[in-house]
Amino acid sequence: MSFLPYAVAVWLFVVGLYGIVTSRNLLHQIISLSVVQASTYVLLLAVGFRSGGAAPVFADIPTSRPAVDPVVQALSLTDIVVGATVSALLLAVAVQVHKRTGSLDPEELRRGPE
Amino acid sequence: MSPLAPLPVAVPLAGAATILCLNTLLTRRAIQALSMATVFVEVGLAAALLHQTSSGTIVYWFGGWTPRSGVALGISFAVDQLGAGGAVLAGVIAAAAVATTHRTVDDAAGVTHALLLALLAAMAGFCLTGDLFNLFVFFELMAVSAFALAAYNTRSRAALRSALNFAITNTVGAFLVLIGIALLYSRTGALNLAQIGREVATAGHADRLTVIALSALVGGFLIKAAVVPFHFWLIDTASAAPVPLAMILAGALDTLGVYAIARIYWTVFASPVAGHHHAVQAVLIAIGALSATAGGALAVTFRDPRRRLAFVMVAHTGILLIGVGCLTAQGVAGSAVYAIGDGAVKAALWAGLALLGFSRPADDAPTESELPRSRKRAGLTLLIAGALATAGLPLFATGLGKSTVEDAAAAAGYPWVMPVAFLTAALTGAAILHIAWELVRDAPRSPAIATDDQQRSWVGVFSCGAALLAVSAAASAIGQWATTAGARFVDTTGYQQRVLNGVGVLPTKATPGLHLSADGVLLDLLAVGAAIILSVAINRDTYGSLYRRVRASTLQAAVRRLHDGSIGDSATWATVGTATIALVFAMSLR
Repeated sequence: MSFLPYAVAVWLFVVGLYGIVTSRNLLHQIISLSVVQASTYVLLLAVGFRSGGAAPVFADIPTSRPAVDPVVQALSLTDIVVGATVSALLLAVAVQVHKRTGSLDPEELRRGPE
Repeated sequence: MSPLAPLPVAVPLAGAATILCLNTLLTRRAIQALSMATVFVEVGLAAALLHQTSSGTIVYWFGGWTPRSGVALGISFAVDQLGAGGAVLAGVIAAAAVATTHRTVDDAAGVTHALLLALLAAMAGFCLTGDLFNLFVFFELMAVSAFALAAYNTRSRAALRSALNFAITNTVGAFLVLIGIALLYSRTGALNLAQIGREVATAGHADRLTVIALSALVGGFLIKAAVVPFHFWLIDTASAAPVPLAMILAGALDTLGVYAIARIYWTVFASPVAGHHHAVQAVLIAIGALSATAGGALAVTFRDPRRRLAFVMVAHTGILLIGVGCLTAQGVAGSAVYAIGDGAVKAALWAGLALLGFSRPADDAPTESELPRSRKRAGLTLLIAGALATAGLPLFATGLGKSTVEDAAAAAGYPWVMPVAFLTAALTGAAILHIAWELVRDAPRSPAIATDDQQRSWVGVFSCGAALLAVSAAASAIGQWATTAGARFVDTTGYQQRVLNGVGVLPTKATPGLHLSADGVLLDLLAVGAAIILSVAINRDTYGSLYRRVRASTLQAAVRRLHDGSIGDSATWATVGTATIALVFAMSLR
């Protein structure tokens, strides 16, 4: 088993989070969120991977043949759907922000003194 | 197997779809009625489920995929008393939110109702599910529908910003939860809570992977619960969100974050960390106490009523977390009573603020028009009654819940929770009373409301608030139910047997019901008294100078700057919080 996919997952999570925290542009910030999400895809697929395993479709391969775990693939698919919804809504809000303020800088959205 | 189990989720979803289909055909009034009817059906179904759970956990396997020789194959709803109770609470709060929608949201259309119903479906599913991945999906559905609602008022810059803050921070939380799920799946090959619990229990002790999974899950759910330091998104959202969403956030959504921690602890982690449960206890109680005191103190020093109420929410979720953090049946029972009693009160407080003209974000100011006298009086009544309940007046369930949590904490070796809870009750009560005194004192300071607002009837909103306060008062009578529910909730093996083997022995030990002792009543009354005195002291000009000096201090300015809605700050603190939890767990759970 290789540690590489886990290292990639951690790297994507951290670098995406850094993007969210430091971003000065809403689109960049939303894409950073997608990068964080990409780390969960990598992690899920790495968890279910089996070296030498076939795709888990047993229509044309014998059932005794080792295959990768189909459950994590289903989880990733759900995860992608969730991510698409979140990104779509966030981008729609970003469009509204740009319409209203003419800027995409999250810092400019901060509220003034109370 | 009860066929009722999936209906509290299915009915609101079907209702939401129907409303969207008929949106252009029906009048606004008809849509409101349809939405209201759907919520009432959900409450009825959840109440029927709650009734059935008195004879044990109800397990429902979707598509009839029942476990084979004790191994879960399908996806299940596992409904116990607390889960069904949560679905009822979510329904009651959603009913109040839907009922006030057309009075508090401008141009509320079918979309608003569809989003509210989707949010209700997600909350119900979150309470009823017995599957960890399902829990994540409902977590995301809650977040997505709630943040679409938060962004509903696109005229307001504050509303748009807070929706972004809410969405980004909560989605990071959801990914933390998902990472926890992936790690647990890699260790156990299971997603069913009972199955995961059984697999990790056979491993004996918590290995490093399980500890990381626990930290990620706790961090993710604490973001939803919005306790300090995960609370920044909530302050921002509550200060600009439409009133119905604020009511649901205050009454149910935050509570569910704490519920999820309790659920995963007792189904999965209770036995692997059994030898080191003191560390988990210490971490949860410390975060809860920090949240309670910081939330209470900041509630008093912030001026904007909506932000104040948001800090009260943070403080009280802290008390809930302390109750769960005791890791005993008594603590869970106390938290359950507190969640119902306090959730209803906070939703009623939002109804009061809506009556007083705070239903819009500050930067979406309406055309000026004076608040009608009768409406102002109604709003102030709700606010003052709610403030007394917040401080723990024994008439309401908040008093019973709080003193049970204190007893449970003392029994677990944390006697200092008592003064912390006392201080929190006094501070939060004073913060809300002070809003009322200010509105009474300087009539001109009360905000103007839009002319068309003025013509709308306020009686509906007031009755909703009053009904919620009545729910809180009635919840004082559920002491016996709460102890039984708490005892069954913490019975890990019973849950596993019921879900995986279809048989389960209920804990037979008779549990005495919760009731307020004479000391508890006295203490609660003292807290109410302290809240009144404190609020009057702040309001009087003689002490006002000290209060102003505190508000003008550099520390306070820094705290205010921290809460000005930066998404980066919000995400940073959530990360710091989760990392700290992971560090403490990694060092102490081995």
